[in-house]
Amino acid sequence: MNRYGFIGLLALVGMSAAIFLANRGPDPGDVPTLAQVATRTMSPFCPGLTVEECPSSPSAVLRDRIAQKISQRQTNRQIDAWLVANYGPVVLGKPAQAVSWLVPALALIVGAVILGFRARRWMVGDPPTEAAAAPAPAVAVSDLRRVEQELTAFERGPER
Amino acid sequence: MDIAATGRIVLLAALGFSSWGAVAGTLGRMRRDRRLAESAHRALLAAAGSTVLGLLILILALYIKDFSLSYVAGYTSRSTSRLFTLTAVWAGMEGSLLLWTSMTAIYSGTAIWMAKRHRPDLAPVATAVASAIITFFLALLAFSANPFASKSPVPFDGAGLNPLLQSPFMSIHPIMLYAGLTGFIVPFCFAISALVSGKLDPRWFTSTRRWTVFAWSMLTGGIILGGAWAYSELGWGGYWAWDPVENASLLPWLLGTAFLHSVMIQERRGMLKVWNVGLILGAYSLSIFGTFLTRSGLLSSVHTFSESPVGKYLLPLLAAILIGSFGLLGSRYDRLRSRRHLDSLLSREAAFLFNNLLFIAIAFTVLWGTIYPIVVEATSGTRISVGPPFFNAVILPVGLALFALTGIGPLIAWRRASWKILKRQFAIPATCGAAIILGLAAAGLRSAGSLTAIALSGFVSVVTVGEFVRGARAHSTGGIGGWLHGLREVVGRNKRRYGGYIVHLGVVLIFIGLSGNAFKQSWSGTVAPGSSFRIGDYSVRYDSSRNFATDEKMVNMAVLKIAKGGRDIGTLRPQRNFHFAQRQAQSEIGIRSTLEEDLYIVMTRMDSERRATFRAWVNPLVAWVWLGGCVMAVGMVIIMSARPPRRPDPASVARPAERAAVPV
Repeated sequence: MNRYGFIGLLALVGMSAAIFLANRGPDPGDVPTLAQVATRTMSPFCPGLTVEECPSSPSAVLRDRIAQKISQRQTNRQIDAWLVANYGPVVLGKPAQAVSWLVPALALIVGAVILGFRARRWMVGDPPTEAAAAPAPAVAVSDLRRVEQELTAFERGPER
Repeated sequence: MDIAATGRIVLLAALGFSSWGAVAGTLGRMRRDRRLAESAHRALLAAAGSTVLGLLILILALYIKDFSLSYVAGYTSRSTSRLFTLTAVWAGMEGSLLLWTSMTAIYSGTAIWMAKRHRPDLAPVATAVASAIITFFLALLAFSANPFASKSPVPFDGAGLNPLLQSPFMSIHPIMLYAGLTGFIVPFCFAISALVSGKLDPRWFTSTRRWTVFAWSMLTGGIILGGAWAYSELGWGGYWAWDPVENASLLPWLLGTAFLHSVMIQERRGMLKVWNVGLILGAYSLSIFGTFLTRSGLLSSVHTFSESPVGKYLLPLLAAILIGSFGLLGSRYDRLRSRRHLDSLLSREAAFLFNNLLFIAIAFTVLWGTIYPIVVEATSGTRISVGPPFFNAVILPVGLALFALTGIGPLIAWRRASWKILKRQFAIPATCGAAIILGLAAAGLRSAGSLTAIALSGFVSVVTVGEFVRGARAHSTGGIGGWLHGLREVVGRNKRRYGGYIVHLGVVLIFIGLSGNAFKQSWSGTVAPGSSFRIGDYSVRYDSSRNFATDEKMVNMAVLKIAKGGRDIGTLRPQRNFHFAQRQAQSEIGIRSTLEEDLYIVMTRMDSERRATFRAWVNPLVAWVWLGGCVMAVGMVIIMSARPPRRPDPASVARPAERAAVPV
């Protein structure tokens, strides 16, 4: 693999790691803040909104109850368990199984690998035909260098 | 005039025309019969005209408040204003389906009529495909979701319009959204036609490119206006919640954006033909998927219609489109495959490839997160949700990478870039980005996502503005006037390119706006008149309240005096109203908006002692999102104003023998 492919792979691994770390979630043993719980918990009273966002009165009551539990030094694990027990897994806002939220990261890596192989084939090109197998006329190295320089300068300029 | 009967007859006539269009177009292609092909096209135009007539009849019924129609009685009332009477057209399942079908028919009929002269070889199949799809939707309207169903006995007054839809944004957002989603039918039909006929040269998409750009522009505007509606009406302090229906509009947008970028490689290098056809087929398939989600009753969302039988009929259509179109693509794979080489992985072509990969990764993630709860509930009976905690975490890193490519792509040369030149070109933009990160980190900003977004905004801005500066300099005649002349020249000569750069600048502004989300502040509580509360740098005093009734609602208004830094800066008047017809409470939000931040206050309750419960947010940089949308609109207008490439006049191209006879 050349260095560009290596850089691309590094970027993908970095992105996938960022996704993994972000989805790992907070430390279950930590005592959270109200904002942390309210922004990651889906409101059972407003479809699609978090407890933080939901403007309904029952959601305000739920925020108060979460604040009470935090003041009692309950941990992330305890608070999440209480929420799920009272409102169902719908409050989690993401798939419970780790493999489910890893699927997008895996899809990205698999897609990149497939694309990498395809790009490599595009660079190698099709098998040469009989005509192409005939030796090409010799071109001076200085001429080749000059062509590259002219092409680079042309590409750099503004398009018409 | 019996509007119900007239409307139904018109829709049935449209169904007849479109059915003939599908049959005649298919037979015309199979038998190479020009008369049948011409008949098919006329039938498609007649179907389009009839469908639009049906839509106009429904609008008339709404305007004259003909409550003998169930639809009119269900979505308007005597007190509904004229503007919102128009909004009622798309408030319900039947009306919105009629609007969808009308737009599909208008797009198809017009595009094929305009393209017929230049691509008579593709018109018959395109006509047949478009007619078949329109036939399907007209059949739904005629037999399953009839907008002209009668109501007996005729009520004195209607149920009125949902208060959430009584917003100026709702007068525009659905039309733009539908114009975007249905517009992808044009490149879809021509792509199918090109695949069927085997005429796989790039001219099929050249002739539909403007339609694709127009559809994409409408969809972009529709999505942004939808966010503006959510922000101003729903009262949760945000504008994007990863709601399944929001996701359903985002999915075709992602593939459409990937297509508009990737097609440049096909134009320039003749590569990525399979990708481009696949992206267009995917974009339209996802449009149908979105309308299925909205109408199936599978989802609970503020955007969805109630459960109806329409959903179960849309699934076979979606399956047919997916299997048919991608099967056809697979059968033509060898003919589409490019024989060109990729010269280097460090090239603009490779950057576009990576761009495509990231767009598809985001689309896959959005699709996965949207359908996952449906699949889990269907298989295990357990209700779960997938919302912002998942989407934000997964899409943020990929989205930032895509944003970075927005700045990297323009700097990389086609075919092969040189590291030496790239390092020189990246120096200033990268330094700017790094300086922003260091400066903000030193100022105490700790949110990694926001730091990266703002730094990349600086990077992309410098790259994009640099492109304008380089171009203007080449055409400048000196002085400020000369520079302006140079700028006008360079944009005028390549509107697609520089319009695209302006769209990118709009994206920069949107990312700046998005980065403000990390610094939101919120407050909630109950206050009595005369009391104050603080949020951020603001002091909010609940000065007084007003209560009055209109024809439609009971208004409870709180008058709030806002101060910042000890200085009075204005008044907000949030409301909590009760709508009589719908028996529904709804909040009107008080928003004070500046470029720096919005103060956003919702009143959720007022008791008999006038004590009011408020939720307040300070939302930094939200205005930049709307500003970014406006800048994107300017860019899109410039792109669409680009003249299409001139087609050679066949009469001016002499045959070789004639050329030889001409004296030199």
